[in-house]
Amino acid sequence: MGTGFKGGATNYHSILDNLPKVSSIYKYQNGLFGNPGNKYPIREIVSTDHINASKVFYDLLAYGGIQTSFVKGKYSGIKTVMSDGTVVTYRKITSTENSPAVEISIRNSKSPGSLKQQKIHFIEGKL
Amino acid sequence: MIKIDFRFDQNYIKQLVGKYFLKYRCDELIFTNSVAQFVELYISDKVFSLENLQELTDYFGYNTDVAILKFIEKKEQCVYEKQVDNFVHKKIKQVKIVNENQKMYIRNKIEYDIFFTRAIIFILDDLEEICFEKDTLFFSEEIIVNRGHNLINVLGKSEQFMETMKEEKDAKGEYFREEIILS
Repeated sequence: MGTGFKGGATNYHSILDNLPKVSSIYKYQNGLFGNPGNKYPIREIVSTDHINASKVFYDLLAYGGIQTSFVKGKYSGIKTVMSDGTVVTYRKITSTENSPAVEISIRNSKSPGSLKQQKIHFIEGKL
Repeated sequence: MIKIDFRFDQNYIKQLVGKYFLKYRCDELIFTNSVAQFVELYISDKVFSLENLQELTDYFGYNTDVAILKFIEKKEQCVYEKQVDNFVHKKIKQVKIVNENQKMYIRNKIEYDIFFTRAIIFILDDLEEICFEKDTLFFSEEIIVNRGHNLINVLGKSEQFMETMKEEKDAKGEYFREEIILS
């Protein structure tokens, strides 16, 4: 399952451990990040450096979780399981051109707080 | 109206009844009972792959990445080292397929009629069940694995689909499930 906790954390983090920091940096309302995308629960975050922003977002949200990589599928990626059971997935390439995405699944989460299931696409653009 | 059908082939699955479920290989189930992308099923002399991978698909009017659950026989012999064996060694008495039908109406006229397999449940000769369920989040490649009894009762509800329909203008959604028992 990996050799330690993501980002060098000393203990196993839950999604609620990381949510305050991430939601203080990125727009967060009613359990959803960013702005509405083309279909609920797809969301969008616009950034001038959207590739970097997507990675920073993922690293912050998944900090202290246990990360593994995918071996199959059209779009490679990585996933992190948090201690509460939330699964955070990152794909640099998706079917949406030039738009990395972070997926959040709380299906197995024991305590997701206000966080909802969603997929956040990062779009290049001016804020 | 657009009709899409991703259901498993019943006749193909029926061949598994009476065979020996030796083991399944998947990510280690330590922190959750969900695994990413695929599970390999070793049944008698064959290996099957239950895959839940994203494909570019029309999702109620928007082309996006949708995870599609497929059951295929594996031809190549390659072992994914990070996966672990979960031994079963029991005869398959029945296989239960849970199919789902999601309908989208716009101004009371049906526009989308989508069929897919939500879960496959193996009922073994001692009545233990092993259930592999596609996550209810449409883009999620997770497969939820459960062992026990009456596992039809642990399947997730398609709440995300109903919430998606609520957000659509003039739309209404409904979904149904059917259980097909192969014995």
